[in-house]
Amino acid sequence: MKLRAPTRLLWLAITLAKHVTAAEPAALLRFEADRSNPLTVTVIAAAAERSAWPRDSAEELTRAPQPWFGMWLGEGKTNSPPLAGSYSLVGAQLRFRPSLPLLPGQTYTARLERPGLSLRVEYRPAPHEPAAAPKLLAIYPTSDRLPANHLKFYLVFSEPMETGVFLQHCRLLDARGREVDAPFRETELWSPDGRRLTLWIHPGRQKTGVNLNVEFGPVLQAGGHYRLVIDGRWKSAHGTPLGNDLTKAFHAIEPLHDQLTTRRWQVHPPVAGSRDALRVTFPLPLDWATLHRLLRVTGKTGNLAGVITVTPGEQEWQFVPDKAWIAGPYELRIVNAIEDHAGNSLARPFEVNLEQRNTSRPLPPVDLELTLPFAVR
Amino acid sequence: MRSIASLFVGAVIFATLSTNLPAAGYLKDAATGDPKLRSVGAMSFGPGGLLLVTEPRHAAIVAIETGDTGPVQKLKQKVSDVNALLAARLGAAEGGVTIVDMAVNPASGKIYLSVTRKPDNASLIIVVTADGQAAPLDYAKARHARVSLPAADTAKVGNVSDVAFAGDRVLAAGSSNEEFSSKIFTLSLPLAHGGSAVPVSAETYHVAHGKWETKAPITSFVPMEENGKHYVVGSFACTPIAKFELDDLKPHAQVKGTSVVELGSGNRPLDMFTYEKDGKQWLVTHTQRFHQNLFGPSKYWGARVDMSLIKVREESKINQKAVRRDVKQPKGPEGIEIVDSLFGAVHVDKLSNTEVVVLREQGASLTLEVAPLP
Repeated sequence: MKLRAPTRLLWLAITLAKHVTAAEPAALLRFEADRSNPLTVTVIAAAAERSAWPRDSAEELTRAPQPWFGMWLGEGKTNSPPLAGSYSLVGAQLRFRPSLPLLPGQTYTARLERPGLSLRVEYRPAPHEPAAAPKLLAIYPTSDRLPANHLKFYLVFSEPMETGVFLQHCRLLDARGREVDAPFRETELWSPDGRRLTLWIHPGRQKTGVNLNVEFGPVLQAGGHYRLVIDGRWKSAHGTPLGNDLTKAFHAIEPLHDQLTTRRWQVHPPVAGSRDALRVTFPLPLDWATLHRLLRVTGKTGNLAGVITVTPGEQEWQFVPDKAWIAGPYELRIVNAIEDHAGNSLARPFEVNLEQRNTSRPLPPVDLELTLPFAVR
Repeated sequence: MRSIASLFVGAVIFATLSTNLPAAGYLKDAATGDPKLRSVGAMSFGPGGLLLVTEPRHAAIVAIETGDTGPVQKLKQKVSDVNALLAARLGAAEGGVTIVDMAVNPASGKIYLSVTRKPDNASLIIVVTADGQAAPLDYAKARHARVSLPAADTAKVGNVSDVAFAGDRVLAAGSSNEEFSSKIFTLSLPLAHGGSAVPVSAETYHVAHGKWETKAPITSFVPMEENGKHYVVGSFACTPIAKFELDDLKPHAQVKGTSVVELGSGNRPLDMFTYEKDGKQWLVTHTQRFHQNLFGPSKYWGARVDMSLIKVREESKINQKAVRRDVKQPKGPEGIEIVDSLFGAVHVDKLSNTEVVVLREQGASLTLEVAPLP
């Protein structure tokens, strides 16, 4: 039997037909993997004659719940569903290509059962080299004193983590080590790169007067001591667990209900000619993520490029420009959506008590962007 | 006379074409082949087999002209252990597949599942046919358009919670992963590949006990028309069902939804659809209860709500005075009914005015079945 040498494909495995009988047609069953990706494979049943396979084989196999040729996960037990994919008949070769690349470390079986012919071959893509354990690089806010109406944590990982499981791996414990019941919002919110999870404390319980708050009470009680525990069994997207449990301990202080203002913000201008940091300090900690996104510096020529740093405790924002400061007037521009830890922004408090204000008038409008001028000398 | 007859025939043909417009008519500058979904979340169908898929982590909507235009063939029998079936079909270990959402193509009755595979986080659309076979959506002849949801005012969209075809446009709800807020976006037709949606609401708010007003992200919604006006009926993260008039949804507007129905404390509405029975319109929503349900075998349950409650306008029947279900009562109030066939429903979608497709939690596994609507 002659087989055409694969041209663009990498020949991987070949198994001689295990004939039930010696009757023709003889055939070979083999896996071929793409040269560019050994997990993208095609199974080929190659016969000597084109007539070995029914002309409508591809259509018949596509329709069959239990096809006589295909590929299965594991040993390919009878009646287990085959891998999804597409069939084609190319000359004397009957081909099956799975819809998806295979997964490292799994065993796959290709099987062909025809009258008088039973072929089987296994393929096990090499498991990934044991990857280094992912790291939980930081939990924000870093402060160990958080208002009792605190809203969210940001968990920053070294690499993308397994999704759909965060509620299983994040726990909140009280001072006695008892688990706080259902403390987190169920919505899973990752950054596009899969490295940062926003872990919300359940807003329905933190929002005053909302039914969960009334029925079950807030998640945090002022004066309480808590530990946020991230389970070491949480795996990266590559399947390697974090290793050890990681904990953030904090003390819940009185809740924050006031709308933010910039009145007590302090701007510490740098010296002209230097690349010293512009420092802005706040009387209360602000939200770590929005501090990176909603503050900018403008000069005569527009926005300044530079690097933003939020110092531990989230009460100081630093900006180091790419180019040295030139003497002159500048502005710190602040988008009004910037928040404190309880969701109070420059635009409005997180919760508005309608009984304590004239509801016939809307909240006083706040400019979308506020400015704090400063001069560099 | 002949020319008038021709005009009439032409008008009829045009009307027929416009009501049966193929999905291709809704796409512009469409790309062909695999859209290579980067993440996958909520889905819904438009006409002519037009599938709308969210890429929740990438703030985008992908509209796919599936070519799946019928005829309708509903699932013939219950599919047991759907997760095991999908894992086997996708070559993943047991427990290696997560179903994110489900949508039924009204044109064909086929069931579409958005799924992710572990550990490579592959994002896929799986199609379940009437005979219970499951396979990834074939993109060989499909065309698609990807439309991004831009940062609206201030908040970057970190999650796209729902998408729906609303007759003359597509609507999407995106929530921020940094602020407790959501935006409603409008995507004009035809959907242009590489285009960008327009944010049409600045914020949505919810009032609790007539006293505390807070922002409230929308989790799911359905478009609704009433007296020639277009509305969005949405569910908040904090349980009430509210409606917004689409004409109110303008850029930078501070839109306050009108709360019309409260399903009771601790419920999180998930999927929603409307249907008609004996000349009466109903809204079906299924929810996940915060704690074990007092009246049923599962924390997942569903209800139907008389649409006249949704359409209510009187001040005495909205917001804090809206109809409220008592979670401790097995029945009532009038117009809100528990739908027994939706107990355990993790996802639901309408098949017809008489049947619903249910992905149901059954012990540790999931089953897929067609269930009757009351």
